[in-house]
Amino acid sequence: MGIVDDVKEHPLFAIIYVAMSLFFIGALVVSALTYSHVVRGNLLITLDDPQEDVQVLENGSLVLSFSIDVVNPSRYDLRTSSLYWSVRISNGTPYHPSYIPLGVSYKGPTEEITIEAGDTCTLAYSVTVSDRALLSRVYGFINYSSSIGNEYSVMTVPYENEIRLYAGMDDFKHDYVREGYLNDLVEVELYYVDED
Amino acid sequence: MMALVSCPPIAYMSFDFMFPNISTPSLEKNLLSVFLLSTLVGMPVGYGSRRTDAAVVTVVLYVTVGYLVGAAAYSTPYMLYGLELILPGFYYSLYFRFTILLVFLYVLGGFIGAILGQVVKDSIRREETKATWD
Repeated sequence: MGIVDDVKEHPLFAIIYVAMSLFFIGALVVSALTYSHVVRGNLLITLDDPQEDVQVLENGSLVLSFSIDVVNPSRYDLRTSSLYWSVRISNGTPYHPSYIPLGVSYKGPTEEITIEAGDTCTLAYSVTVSDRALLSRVYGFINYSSSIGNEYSVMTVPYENEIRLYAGMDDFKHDYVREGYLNDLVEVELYYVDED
Repeated sequence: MMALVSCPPIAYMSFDFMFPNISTPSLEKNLLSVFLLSTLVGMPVGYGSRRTDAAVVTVVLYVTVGYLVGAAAYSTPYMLYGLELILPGFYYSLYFRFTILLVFLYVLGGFIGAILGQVVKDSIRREETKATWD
């Protein structure tokens, strides 16, 4: 019972020792739970409910609209570092891809969007295609598709919307140079492409 | 019992070294801080042990237990939420690869701390004996 005698002789030392141990148990539990929530949150954050819309204006211009929800059921706010959207028509083959680009939008780190924890944010984009050369390429695609048996109208052309989002969770550090796995842990990369 | 009380700092330091950006508070992969904290953790073991070999065995014991508890904390998402671990061999080899160096620091710091603890204990006893006889 030497230890018990020592504890009785120096109770303050024993209290400090046990308090230090309890502190580190608490820190370990908190950190492990944070890790669990980050990993789970990363799996739960998704893009959902894509909506497309096409309108033809009186002057013949096309208005292409797209919206998609970023669903964030995790406990952490998402701060976007890069948000890219594009709409195009694919007029090539899988072996020789070719596109008619119709619109693009990019938001970098200076135009950060915050998606709060437990919230859903709707990203909405719209582009008006009024350039005559571009419109003629769209109508050319419709005419060529018709010649090979695919009947399309301006409203039913398979517009390909692509959205790519990079975001960081909360304020966790994610600018490590060597330890890339630490950046991957707290960064979210979401990608959606509508290939009709 | 001393091994059980001393193992939480080892477990925490191992986990923190793996994920310094999500641990609270974090040593930010500072090996000097790890070594100094290991020495501090070893001091009570040396102070509480009457024999040096018992202190050495206790150091090895708490480092082993603490390291395994750290590995258990590393598995928390998969234990807590039942997530599927795709490559468990790779997942744990990553943990051991990053933290195996720390084991040497824990043991070395623990030994030095145990010796310091015994030195402190001996000097306190000497002072008490001197005070008794004066």
